[in-house]
This record gives sequence, C-alpha cells and structure tokens, in this order.
Amino acid sequence: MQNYIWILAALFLPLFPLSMVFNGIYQRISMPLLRFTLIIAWPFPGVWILQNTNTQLPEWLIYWALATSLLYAFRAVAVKEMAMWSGFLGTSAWALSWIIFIAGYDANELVFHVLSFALPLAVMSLLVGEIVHRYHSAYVGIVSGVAVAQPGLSGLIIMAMMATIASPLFPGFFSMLKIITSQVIAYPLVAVGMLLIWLIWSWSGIRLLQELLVGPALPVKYRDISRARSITYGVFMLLLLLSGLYLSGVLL
Amino acid sequence: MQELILIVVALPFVSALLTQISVSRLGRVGASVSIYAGWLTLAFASVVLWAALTGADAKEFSLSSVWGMIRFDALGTLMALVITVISLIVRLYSIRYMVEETGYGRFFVLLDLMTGALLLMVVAGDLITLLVAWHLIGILLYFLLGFDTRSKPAARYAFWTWITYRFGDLPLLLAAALLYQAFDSWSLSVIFDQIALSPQAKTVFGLPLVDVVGTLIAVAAFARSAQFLLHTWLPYTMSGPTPVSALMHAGIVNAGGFLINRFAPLFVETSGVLHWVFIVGLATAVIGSILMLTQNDIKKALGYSTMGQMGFMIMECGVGAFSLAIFHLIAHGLFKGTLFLSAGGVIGEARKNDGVPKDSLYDFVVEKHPAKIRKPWLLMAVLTLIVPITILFLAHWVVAEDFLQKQGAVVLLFFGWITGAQLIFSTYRMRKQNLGRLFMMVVGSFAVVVLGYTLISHAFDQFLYPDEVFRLRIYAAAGIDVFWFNVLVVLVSIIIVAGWLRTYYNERKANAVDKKLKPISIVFYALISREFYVNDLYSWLTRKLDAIALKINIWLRWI
Repeated sequence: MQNYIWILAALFLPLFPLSMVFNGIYQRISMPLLRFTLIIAWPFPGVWILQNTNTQLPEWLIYWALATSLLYAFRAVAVKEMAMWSGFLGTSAWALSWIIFIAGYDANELVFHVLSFALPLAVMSLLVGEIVHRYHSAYVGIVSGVAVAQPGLSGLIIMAMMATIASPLFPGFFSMLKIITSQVIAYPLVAVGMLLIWLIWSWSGIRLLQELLVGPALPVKYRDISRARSITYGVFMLLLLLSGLYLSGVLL
Repeated sequence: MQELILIVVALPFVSALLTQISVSRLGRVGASVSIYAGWLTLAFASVVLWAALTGADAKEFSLSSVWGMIRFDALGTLMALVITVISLIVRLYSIRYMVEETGYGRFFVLLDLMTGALLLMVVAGDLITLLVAWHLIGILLYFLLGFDTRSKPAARYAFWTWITYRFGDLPLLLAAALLYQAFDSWSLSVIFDQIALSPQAKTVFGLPLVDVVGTLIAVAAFARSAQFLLHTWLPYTMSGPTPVSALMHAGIVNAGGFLINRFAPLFVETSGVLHWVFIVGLATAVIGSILMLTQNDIKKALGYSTMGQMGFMIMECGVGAFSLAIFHLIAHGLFKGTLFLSAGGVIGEARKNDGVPKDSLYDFVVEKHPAKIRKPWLLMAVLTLIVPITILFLAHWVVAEDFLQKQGAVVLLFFGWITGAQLIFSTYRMRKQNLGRLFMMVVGSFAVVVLGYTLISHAFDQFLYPDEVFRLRIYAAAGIDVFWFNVLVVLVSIIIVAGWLRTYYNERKANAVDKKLKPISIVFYALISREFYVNDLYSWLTRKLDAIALKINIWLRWI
C-alpha cells in the first residue's frame, strides 16, 4: 500500500516515467483556463502525500528526481511549442521538490517551491492562449515577430518567462537559491546538477522567447492585448514579484 | 553623509518608473526625466565619493533582516561615480541618437534599470544583493542588446551574451552558497571578518574553502569580463545600439575586475588562485590583441581590443595589483566609451572624405609597408631596450623605493617595458624625414603616460587599500617562489629580445626569414582568421545538443 502511495506522489510531483502522464494530459487540453487550473492543481496531491507521510524515502530518489529534472530541462531545448515547453519546465521544476523533502527540510518549503513555478507557468498558459487565439498556433516556427505586432502581449510574455526561468526577484530565484544552499555541502553533485538545470532553463526559455518575439511582424494583423487584461496580468506579475520578496525573507 | 549612498542606488530605479509613466503620457519628451535623474544621481554620487575621500568610515545599511544590505566604502563609492558618469553620458548621447527608433521610452527605462542594477552591484553589502544585481545585469543587457526586436542578428548575439553571463552567474551562486554554509551569514563584512580570523579553518571537499570559493569567483569574473573561451559574445554584440555598445564596453564588461576587488579579503588568503587568474588574463590579453590586429571590421576590432584590455585588467589582479585593475577599468571605460560614441561621427565623416593622408605613415599603418630609410639599427636597438626601462624605473622610484620587492610590480614593469620598446621599435620602422623629432615625441609621450599611470595607480592604492600590510599581503598572495620568478623573467626576456633581434635581422636581410616561415604564417593566419575555431566549436556543440534533445523527444513521443 505504501508503495502505491509513493507511486501516486511520483505521478503528481512528476518523476520519470510517470511524468509522461502529466505532459500527455496537459498537451491534450486546449482550453487556456483548464490548463491554468491543471498546472496549479496538479502538484498539490503530491505535496499533500509527502507532507502527511512519515516514512523515510531512499536516498537514491534524490538522484532520480535530479535526473528527471535534467531530462525534462534538456528536452525543453528542442521544443518549439509554447504549451509543451511549459509542461516540460513544470515537470523539471516540480521534480526538484523531492530533493527538498528527502534531504529532510521543512515540508512547507515544498509548497513555496511548487507555487514558485506553478504560478508563473499558469500565467504563461493563459498568455499562450492569447497567442493561439490570434495566430491559431503557439509554435515558434510558425509564429514570430510578436514584439512588433503585439508589444503589450510581448511584454507580459517576457515577464512570465523571466519568472518561469527563476530570474530575480521572482519566487523561483529564491526557491532555487534556498535548495542549492541547503544541498551544497551534503550533496554537492546535486547542487551542481541544479545549477546546470537552471542554466538549461535559461537557454531554452530565452531561445523560445526570441524566436517568438523577434523578427518582422507577420503580414496578418491581429490586435494587441486589451488594456484591462494587460492591467490584470500586470498586477498578477507584480504580486508574484512581491511574493518573491516575501519568500526571500521566509526561506533564506 | 554616508546615508546618501541609499539615494544614489534608489534614484535610477525611481527614474525608470517615472520615465515609463512620463513617456506614456508625454511621448518622447518624457525621456528627459531620465536625464534629470541622471544628473541628480551624479550629484549625489559625487558627494558620496567626496565623503569617502575625506575619510568617512565604511558603513552598512540594512533594508531587511536577510538581505538588501547597502555598503558605503571606498571601492563602492568610486565605482558608483564611474557608473553614474558613463551612464549619464550614454543617456545624453542617446537623446538624439535613438530619436528615430521605436521604443524610445523603453530604451531609457532599460538604461535606468541597468544603471540601478550596476550601482546595486557595486554597493551590495551581502551575497544575495550581489547575486540579484549580478543576475539582473545579465538580463537587462540581453534586452538592451536585442533592443531592435526586428533584427534577428541582434537577438542572436544578445543570446550569446545572455548564455555566457548565465554561465558566469552559476559559479558565483555556488560560491555564495558555500560561504553561507561555512559562515552562516550572507553579510560580506561578517564573512570577510571570519575569514581574516581563521582563513584556513574551513575546508570543502578536502580543499581549503577560500581556494574553492576564490576559484569560483574568478570563473564568474572571467565570464563577465570576456576572458578566453568565454569571450565569443563580446566581439559579436555590435548589432545592438551604439550607446549600448558604449555602456557595455565602458562599464558592464569591467565587472570582473570589480568582483575580484570586492572579494580581495578572500583572495588575499588563497594560495595559487591568483596565479591562474594571471595566466587566464595573460592568455586573453595576448589572444585578444592578436585577434584585434587581424580584423577587417573596425567594430569587431574594437570588440577584440576590449577583450585584450580585459585580459590585461584580469592579469593585473593576478599579479596582486588590485587597485591598478580598478584604475585600468576606469581609464579603459572612458577611453572605449569615447571611441564607441564617436564611431558614428567618424563613419559619417569618412564616407565624405576619409581624411587619411597617403604619406609614409599611412603606408606603414594601413598598407603595412616597412620603411626603407633608417637610422643605424644597432643604435636604435639599444635605445629601444634602454629608454623605456629607464622611464619605468624612474617613474616607480618616485612613488615607492621598494617596488622591486613586489613581484607583481616587476611583472607590470616588464609589460610596460615591452610596450614601450615595441612603440619605439615601430617608430624606427616608419619612414620619416625627421625621425629624431618623432622619436623624441614618442619618448616624451611615453614618459608622461607612464608617470601619470604610476602616480594615479599609487593614489588608487592609497584610497582603496589604505592598510599597507593588507596591500603587501595581496602582492604576497600573488607571488611565486623567488627563484622560479627570476627564471621566468630571464626566460621571457630572452624570448622577447630574440624575437626583436630576429625582426631586425629579417628586415636587414630583405625579409629572408619571413619567406622561410611563410607556410607556417599562412596556417597561423588561417587559425586566427577563424578566431581559433572557438565559435565553430560552440556552434557545433549547440547543434549536437539540439539534435540529441530532438532525438530523445521523438523516442519519448514528446511527452
């Protein structure tokens, strides 16, 4: 029974190969709001299981989690579809939650870590929805030049991307800093691996971003994001930034 | 008075916000907010530096319990003034230069944010603030370099910069994590005090902590200051707006020298790390200079020139001349910033009239034709070797009688000697009617430069590191065994003098040696024309990684 519980946790805080379930479901959903809900809700059953179980997990799971995270970060490099990239990045980030748990740190940190990535990814899923609504695709080989055509929407996508790849002062930055600082002596290889993962996130994220935004605008003209929506997303990003500052005080 | 440092850091961020608001309401005129804020920041930075110069004590201000510590000290206040001056000049220049660009207001907002991030970096009093500023600079530089969102080349090279900077962020982060674990504090002053108390007490992975952390910090500095193998982004970032090139070459790229200075209390306890810093700096200086000489694109040549200068700056750190590196980065910043900002005017003028007189000097510099009329070469050879070394020794004698006891000073003298000798040698190669007069002018200029450089660097030493014992310890940390040092000096001297003699002999024998070496020269030229294949290697590696990621995705059905 205990094993089944762990398998269930590994499904929601995705460890390879169970991670394929989340990505399969996420990619089959096309409604932005449903994606938004899924990306926020998915990891929490896993967090709940970890928080409410007292069993000591084997140490090799740390390396399994690291390998899963590295695998999905690396796979994201070759991805050109924005929603698929979001799913891969979420998988890569959430897999790191196991490291926090197994290394024996405060389980509440799990919630912070999961939310640090789930929230910007959720915003990203809505913004990807805005792109799909206009261009009928969020595949960067097909869509480009968005910065010229829709500068407002582009600005929001940039902010969401910065938060997703754990740039300062967003919560992900402080969460990653906390995990690396905690592990650097006990598990130096894990700390170095996490740095590598962070670098690959930046690589794939910015490359995707610039392929989407840079270049001349496509001949078909679509309107930019409305002012009301811009303000809504902007306020959300500001709150995310402020929560990062708050998180820095709690975690570090 | 020290509290004003908080205003200096805050003003650019406030300005960014106000500029965004004013531009959205008033249009391009709104960007003037950024200029006024720039002047105001400069005024406060000047006051703060004045306070430091007049002996105000170092002080720290905490904005929160964990991080956000702002440090008032000599290094921070000096760098703050340099940053505000260069940033203001760039902004003033941009008012008209960028006027036809879309996103005019965004440009000034980004410049303000960059200024704020740079200032935050130089006055950071704790590791987290330093990390945040360090990361932000990379992010903002990416958006400044890729400012023209229609230009794919600009975005491509901005990405190169981004990824190199991110690579450099990570060792600094690891160093910060190790320091925190060792000393249970993010505060730089607490960490430095603990290190000074028991430098070798902490170990990590069986190695002294200071050596591991020193190496990581040095790697972070290498990435930021375009040292060899982490340099490829620098010469290719010319597709960005000219003011950004000026800001980058004048200020941002110098961050490596600053970082090593900031961690001077740590480097002083390391053993061997500064030697590696010296070797990397030396390799970068030589390779950057070689690549600069072989470029036919003037902007790329300027890029490689910066790389060479950065190599020299890091090399200065490697020999223990920390404050000299700061002087170097300021001097280079002002010099290179001026070059970039005047590049547009020069190109415009040259399109009308290149203004280059087709005389012997032109033949020598552009056409590379050696002169035919000479003074007696033996006399010139003796002068070439003796004059620079005499000037250098006299200049250093003025500031410190015991300068020969510092190995770092000897290494720098050595470089000064080579540079001076090369300058005089080049003069000799020119075909001029009045060679004697030209020669005297060259020697006079060289003497003024050396004397000025020596005196000013001495003043920097006194200001940044007033504790003489500490200064000597930095030189000691960079020193090597006296016997091997002397052997190296003699060996390198012999190689250089032999090279000069070969050149003299070659010219006297009508390039006979050059003809024999031609096949090797061609191979060497091919190598440097491909920039040592470093870019090709990275591109190949990127393509391979892309292909592997693609294959894995196909195997796993993209889920």
